[in-house]
Amino acid sequence: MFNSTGNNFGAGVIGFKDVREDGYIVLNAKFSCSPVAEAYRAATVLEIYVPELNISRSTESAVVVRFKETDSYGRLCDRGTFAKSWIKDNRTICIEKLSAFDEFDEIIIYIQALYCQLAQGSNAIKGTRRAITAISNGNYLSFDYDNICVVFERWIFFHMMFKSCAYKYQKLDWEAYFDGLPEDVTADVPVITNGNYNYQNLGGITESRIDEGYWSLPASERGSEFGSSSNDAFSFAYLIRDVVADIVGRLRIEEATIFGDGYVQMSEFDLELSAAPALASVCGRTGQYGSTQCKVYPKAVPERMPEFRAFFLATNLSGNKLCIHLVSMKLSGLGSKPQILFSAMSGESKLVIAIKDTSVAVAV
Amino acid sequence: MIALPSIAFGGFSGSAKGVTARFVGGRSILSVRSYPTGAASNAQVVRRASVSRITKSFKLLSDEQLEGWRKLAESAAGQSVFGQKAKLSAINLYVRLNSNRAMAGEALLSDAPVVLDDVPMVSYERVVVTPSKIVFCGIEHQILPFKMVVKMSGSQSAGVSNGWSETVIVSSDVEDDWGEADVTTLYLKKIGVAPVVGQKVFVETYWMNTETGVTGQVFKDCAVVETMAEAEESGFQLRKRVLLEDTVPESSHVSAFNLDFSTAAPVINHEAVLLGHSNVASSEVVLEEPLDASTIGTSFCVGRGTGEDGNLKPQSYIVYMSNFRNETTLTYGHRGGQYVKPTEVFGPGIIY
Repeated sequence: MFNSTGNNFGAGVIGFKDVREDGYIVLNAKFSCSPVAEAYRAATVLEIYVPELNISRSTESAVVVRFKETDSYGRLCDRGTFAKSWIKDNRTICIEKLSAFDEFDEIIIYIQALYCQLAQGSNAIKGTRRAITAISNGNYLSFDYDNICVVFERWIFFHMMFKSCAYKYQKLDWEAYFDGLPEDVTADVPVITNGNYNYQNLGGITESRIDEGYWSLPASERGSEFGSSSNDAFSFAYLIRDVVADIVGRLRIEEATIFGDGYVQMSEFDLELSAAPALASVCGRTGQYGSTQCKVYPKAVPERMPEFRAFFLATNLSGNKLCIHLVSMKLSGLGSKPQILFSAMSGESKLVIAIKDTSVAVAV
Repeated sequence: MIALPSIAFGGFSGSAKGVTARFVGGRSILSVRSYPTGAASNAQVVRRASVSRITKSFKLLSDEQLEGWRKLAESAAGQSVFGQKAKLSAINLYVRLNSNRAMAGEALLSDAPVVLDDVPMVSYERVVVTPSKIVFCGIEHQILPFKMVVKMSGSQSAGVSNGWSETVIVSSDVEDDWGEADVTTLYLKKIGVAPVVGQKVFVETYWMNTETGVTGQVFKDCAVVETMAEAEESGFQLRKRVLLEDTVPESSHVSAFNLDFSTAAPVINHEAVLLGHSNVASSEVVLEEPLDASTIGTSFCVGRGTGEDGNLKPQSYIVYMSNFRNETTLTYGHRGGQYVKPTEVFGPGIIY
């Protein structure tokens, strides 16, 4: 985290969250400023001066600029769009000044952007798409197939796509648990809609909140674009995780995808063993339709991790049908070729499950 | 020529039929006028013409302008702005700076520059020379008005240790593109023959301030010509990007296109204007050359109305890449926001 050292448009001090990686940087900040202020009017490009960054220039990225307004009928007309933003030198972040906002007393700018460079000596590295399953009371909220995130150690890419809301919840505050979204992300994320009337050159923009895996959008923030259908409401953001430094000696195996033979794999895998009392905590999901077993091979296992077996409860949500499974997990073959075997102990004759449970571990 | 009774007694000076005699330090020196061998290249003709034109234009300067050049020449001699300390006359400095400017395509400078700023040294990580690609990598970027002058030789025996005298100017206005400068086309145009694997190519580079014409210290380098496989083995990765000219126009729905994979990050950089097609909320881009399978993936990016009619509607796009029958198609599918045509997409987009 760092604070800006100045700017040329009268915005005051701006606080940033940052993730600095080799050759790129992810920045998160939210601040407001006044387009009618003298400094803003005088600027041709909005410049934010910051302590030294790890890159000295970047390509153009996108930030969200919005204003808040209520029309004479009491309808919300919060509007905005993407503005271009780039790193000019290692102490200056620039934001494109759009004349569409010149007449407003206040605008809000959301920087949830990744700034990258080109010709870095190697090509792009591929991440892994992670679907986000929205869980709400009675599933009154539904989201599109492209409601996804791509998770990295210290930041995520987030693309939310809203679909619809059950009629009786349309005027209530909305909240859903986003299963698949890391719980260590906390942010105010702009939600963008069509914006059908007033300021037709811009999109409708409101603000959602992400906190501990929950996504919420209060009724008071929603314009008329949020009726029963989506109007293609979406969010697009690079968000920083509040990652706590790892504790040395932790008996933990965490891999985005842990592979087995053929097409067998377990995704979002996170296993942790505590010594006394011997408890194992496991998260992960797999879909073996033709088998009641799933064997996967972790890339690395902590040196002091013993072989053990534990039983967990797992779930399978299919439409409105929720199945509970008892699953056995056995870690063995440490040293040469560690392997983890999951076996269905009850329930259906397939292993299509999501585990998120803590259980007593027994040495084998 | 003043012909004296006998040249054996000295005092013989002047020129006749290509022979010039001069009397220096008590000795008579005879020299034969040199003529260029072979036909002059276009660049040589332009260069010689520009020097002649610049020299003539010096006579047209006002007294004030002449005085300015005289003063600058006095200070320039002590500043070592050309890499070596030497006394310069006003006309000498005028011709040199303006020749450099002409080389970079700049107009004639009549008023002497106020000061001759220091010109930075060229710094880059490596120059990769293969028969198909000649690329400077990791150039320490200099902002305009600095441009890089690149001189290179043709392939020489690997045993040659000093071949910089064989270098010729390949380009005088190289601007690095994100620290990289691909001079393959320029090299082939100038040298005429592709570098030969196993042989050596000599390189000289320096920055030039195109406003003042002042050049920096010459950086001498040489590279043994490698195969592309050898270059890749030693860490060079060909920059993967797709430009508008790499697309099939009749099958693509874009008016601008620059997709760059060379981020070394989990994103690719989008820069395109999507025109859309028929009644589908998407634009397709068909590539002339297929992308290799390792590059193919799915990406997301933001879009915005192009603003020509004031429309700045924000949108999101999913980008599907597919290889089918040895042809790569990129589909920019509209996802969020209000779909408008045309739309500009930009910025880093995640790839998976």
